[in-house]
Amino acid sequence: MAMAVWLEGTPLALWVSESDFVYPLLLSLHIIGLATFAGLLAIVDVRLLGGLVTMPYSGMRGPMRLAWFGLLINAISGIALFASQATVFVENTPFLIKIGMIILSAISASVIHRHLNRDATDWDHRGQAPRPARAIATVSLLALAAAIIAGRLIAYY
Amino acid sequence: MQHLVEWLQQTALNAWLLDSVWAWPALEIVHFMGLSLLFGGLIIFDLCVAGYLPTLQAAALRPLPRVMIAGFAVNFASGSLFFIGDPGRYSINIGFQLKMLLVIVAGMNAFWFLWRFGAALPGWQTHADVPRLARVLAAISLFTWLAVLLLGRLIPYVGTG
Repeated sequence: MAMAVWLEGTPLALWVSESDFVYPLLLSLHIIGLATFAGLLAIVDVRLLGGLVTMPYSGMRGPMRLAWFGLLINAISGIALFASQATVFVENTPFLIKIGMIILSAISASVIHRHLNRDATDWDHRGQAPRPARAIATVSLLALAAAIIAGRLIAYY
Repeated sequence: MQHLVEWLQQTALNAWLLDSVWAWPALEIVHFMGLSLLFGGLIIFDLCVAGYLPTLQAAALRPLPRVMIAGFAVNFASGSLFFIGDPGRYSINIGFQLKMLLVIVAGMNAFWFLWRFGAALPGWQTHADVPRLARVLAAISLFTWLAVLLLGRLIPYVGTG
């Protein structure tokens, strides 16, 4: 809590909370980052689960790399938004669930990315991704959905 | 427009959307999921057609329009319910009006692309096969939808009337 109080007093936090346009602009960046990360990762997940068959597994490396760019936009805007109201957010249950789900989806995304780099060509020959890869894709999809649900509920809690 | 707003405000659907505790947040969640699906599909489709995803052949993109149309349909449905639930606020909001204008522009752009290149797309094996107009339309698409996202999030913060 002491850290949240300190964070709220930093120049960055004050700039975000005192300006009329910075907060809404950060919210816009946050949703563009979300749509990029969640949208691309969800499509990679669906491909791993056997959908979108005309797209080769090896072709999903590009979208997977771009997804990290979305997460980066999301994290930077999210940290600035968090700082401006840190004391409120640290006690908000949906916020804490959301952060947990983002971490889970980022971990599963990094495992998927490693597998794509190493095994995608092999999967293209066999025509499908092995069961462990499909399991991670399922975890990733569920974590993304949970993160969006919890994130939207922050404002209502 | 004023007649439409007054009529909508008397509908049972409007009353339900305003009275229900969970309807609005549930619709927002669905709207966010729909836009992620639409935007994720767009990034892959448009960047690939424009030539920025060398690992993917444009011919492989065939199933993506269905993903994007599904995302758009979800958002058109949830978005219509937002409007029915609070027509007085949305109809006079500049952010909302500009957003709707850009959605129409993006939609016409997409129809133009599908009408002109829908049949040719499965034959695009290398980047050299992609016509210049197709690349331009893909770039317009990405920037228009980016602006739609931006304006959508600004609706609660911009002026009305």
